[in-house]
Amino acid sequence: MKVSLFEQVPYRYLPEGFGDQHSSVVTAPYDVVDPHLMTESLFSAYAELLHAARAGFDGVCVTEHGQSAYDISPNPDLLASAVAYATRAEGLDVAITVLGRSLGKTREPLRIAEEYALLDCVSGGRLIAGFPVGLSYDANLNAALPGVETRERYREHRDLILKAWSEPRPFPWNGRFEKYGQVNIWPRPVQQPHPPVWVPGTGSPGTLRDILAHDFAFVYLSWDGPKLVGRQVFDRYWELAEETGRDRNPYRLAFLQVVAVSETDERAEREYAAHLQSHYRSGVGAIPATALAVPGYAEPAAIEGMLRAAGHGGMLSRMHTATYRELVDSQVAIVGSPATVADQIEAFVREFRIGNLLVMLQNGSMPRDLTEKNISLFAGEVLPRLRPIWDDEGWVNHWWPRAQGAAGEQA
Amino acid sequence: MAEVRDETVEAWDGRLRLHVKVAGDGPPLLFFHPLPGLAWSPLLDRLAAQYTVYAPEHPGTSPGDPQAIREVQTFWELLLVYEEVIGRLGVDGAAAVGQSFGGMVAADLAASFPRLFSRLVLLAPLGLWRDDAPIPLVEMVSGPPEDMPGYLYARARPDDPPPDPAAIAQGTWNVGCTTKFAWPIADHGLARRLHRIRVPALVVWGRQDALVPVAYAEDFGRGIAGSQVVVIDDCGHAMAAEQPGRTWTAISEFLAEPRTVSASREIAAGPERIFELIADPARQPGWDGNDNLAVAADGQRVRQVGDVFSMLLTRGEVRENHVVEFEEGRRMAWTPSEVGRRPPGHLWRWELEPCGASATWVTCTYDWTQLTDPGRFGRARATTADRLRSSLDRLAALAEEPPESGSD
Repeated sequence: MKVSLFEQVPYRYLPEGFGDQHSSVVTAPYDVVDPHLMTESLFSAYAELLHAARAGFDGVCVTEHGQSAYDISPNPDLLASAVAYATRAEGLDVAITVLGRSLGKTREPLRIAEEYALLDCVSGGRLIAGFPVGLSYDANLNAALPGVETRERYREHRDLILKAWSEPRPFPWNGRFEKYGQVNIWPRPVQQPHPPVWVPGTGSPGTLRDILAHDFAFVYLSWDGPKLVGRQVFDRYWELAEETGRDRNPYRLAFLQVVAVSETDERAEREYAAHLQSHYRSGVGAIPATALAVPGYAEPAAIEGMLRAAGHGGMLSRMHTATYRELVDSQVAIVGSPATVADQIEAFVREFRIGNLLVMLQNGSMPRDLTEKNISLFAGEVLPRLRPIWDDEGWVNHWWPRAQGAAGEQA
Repeated sequence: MAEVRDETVEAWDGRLRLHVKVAGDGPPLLFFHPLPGLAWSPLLDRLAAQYTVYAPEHPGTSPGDPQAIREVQTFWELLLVYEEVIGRLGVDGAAAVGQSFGGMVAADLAASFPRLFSRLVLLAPLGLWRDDAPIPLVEMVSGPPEDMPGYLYARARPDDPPPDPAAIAQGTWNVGCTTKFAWPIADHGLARRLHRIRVPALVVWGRQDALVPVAYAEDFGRGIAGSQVVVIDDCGHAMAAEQPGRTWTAISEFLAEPRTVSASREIAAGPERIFELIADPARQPGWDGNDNLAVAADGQRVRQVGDVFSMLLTRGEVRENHVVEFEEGRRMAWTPSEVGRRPPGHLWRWELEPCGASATWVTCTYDWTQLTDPGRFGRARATTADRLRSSLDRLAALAEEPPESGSD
């Protein structure tokens, strides 16, 4: 299997109790920020991505969020571009996943087509193109697009980008949201007709069908770990795959897991507990529920489903107050010695047929030295146990870059 | 509560089946609902007691048909859909009442299709924007549900029982369907079209409106010529819920406002003698009770429909009066216009009915039902039955004078 470092870009110095008073998005007050510590937070994220590439991860992964304190990444292509160059210069054959520019949020989809194409060229064909809809607060509040149009925009933008990458001649585009006379982007992706496409989602049947119909990979990006609501999403995905005539190739499925590794279980708790809690309390747990479903973003049946499920299962409504013990017991975060962590991950990866694993190793206030230790330990002692998991079944990972001699300049 | 029935109207080339709630009887009245969708309210009951209320449900907000919103892509399309639906219902020329989001819809319909409504009532409508009075629509819609009442009411209200998940889901979706055309700022350029609204309009606002500040009442009032503005104290955005009595009084007085006034009396003279004072324009300034008519040239005695007589007003302007009804000795009506222009639609009528040998029952009517010049609404309103009575009395005095005794 393939394992990537998933890195968000939080401001690491939010004051104690920030999430009790403020939203972490849209209206998060900027006056809590010390400019020097912001600079340091951003620089650390770049450094940690490179550290992971050097430590032997198969890939690195970044996301887009605007007006956010927990992921200061208004355009992840900027971050990915630096990593693409640096890894090529060092000859590191690492996939670069942008997960991604939000297609339901953008007002300029061709810019995404161009940026992704450029990243694919600069990296020597190592791009995985994420096609997320975008979270409601980002699309409907930050970009201020009507909730009810979000998915319609997404579909049009996806189709436009795919066509812009593969159509050899200039073409006109008369969409509902976008109109162009001559689309003819430079450059085009090295990987033709297009880089592998990963679509993150929360697992609604409509989204899953759409992913399977396009033969994209599904990324289950929850903050819930594998236990809480994972099973129903994964089971649904594989059932739908069978229903739509797709094979059971585990590489069709990617999953994000928060992980913290230290020498022993006890030491892991001592080192990471406070940082993990800060991530949930002042980061993702401090996104108001209403900002994740601005009216129109989700259809009535989906809203009703979310409301009925709120009482049981998901961690979302409880994240803000979750204790370290609850996070660990529910596997929202997997924490411990390399053996503990590898055992837990291997079990659910096999059970749910996950072929592409994303691990989030930096959380909230976690400083760079501790994050780099987490990365090194994971890469050195956990990753080798995970990598061969699907080898015996002989599947090809069609959703991994077809790098053009990705070893780069030094190869 | 009125008996409410659901009518389905096909529109938009068959792509939409819009639900319209209908109740009551009497002349037709259209109601356009606010952001959360149509909820049958006591205000609608009161309207249904006097009118046949037609309350369309915004596309997508009718239970069981959420995807209808996809068929309406822009606000302009929404206006066209409603124009079609109103035509299908056969209620062109009805009065229209719009609340909040529905007020924006009704106002823009009236501006886009100036003959669609006969009267317009706007209850704290969206549709305009000024930087010194921002409308916290995004904050309200995306904020915590417990903050909602603060935007809608001036005073705290008893908590409603929490709605069940299905009701929350429908309500949330409804707001998604309406805010599609109000997001993030409900401004489609209505300010640049308000001047096209040419029917009598009433603008009602709660002084403590925390969603659409009362400052906008002035803007609508100024923008819609001849409109009236009523501001209700101790009242927030949801005025019909918070101040139902005062809101109803403002609406019902406006809707019931007579646009035809008349006065009658007996005059102790024969109809021929009285008619001469009316049909010869040169005699009219002598009995005018409005101090409006200055002088008219001799030799303009009206003889038939189609005649035009000229009159100098006391304000110094000249009016051409187009005779539209004429029966010698009995009846004459005319519509004034500026020189060379089309009459704006208001009409004067005199009717004479002999009673007995030497008396006449005289009726004077001022009718501004068809008046399309909002600039004249103020003066039209000021033309009361008292004014007409004053003319009648002066006419009587002239007609009843004994004939001048000759010098011979």
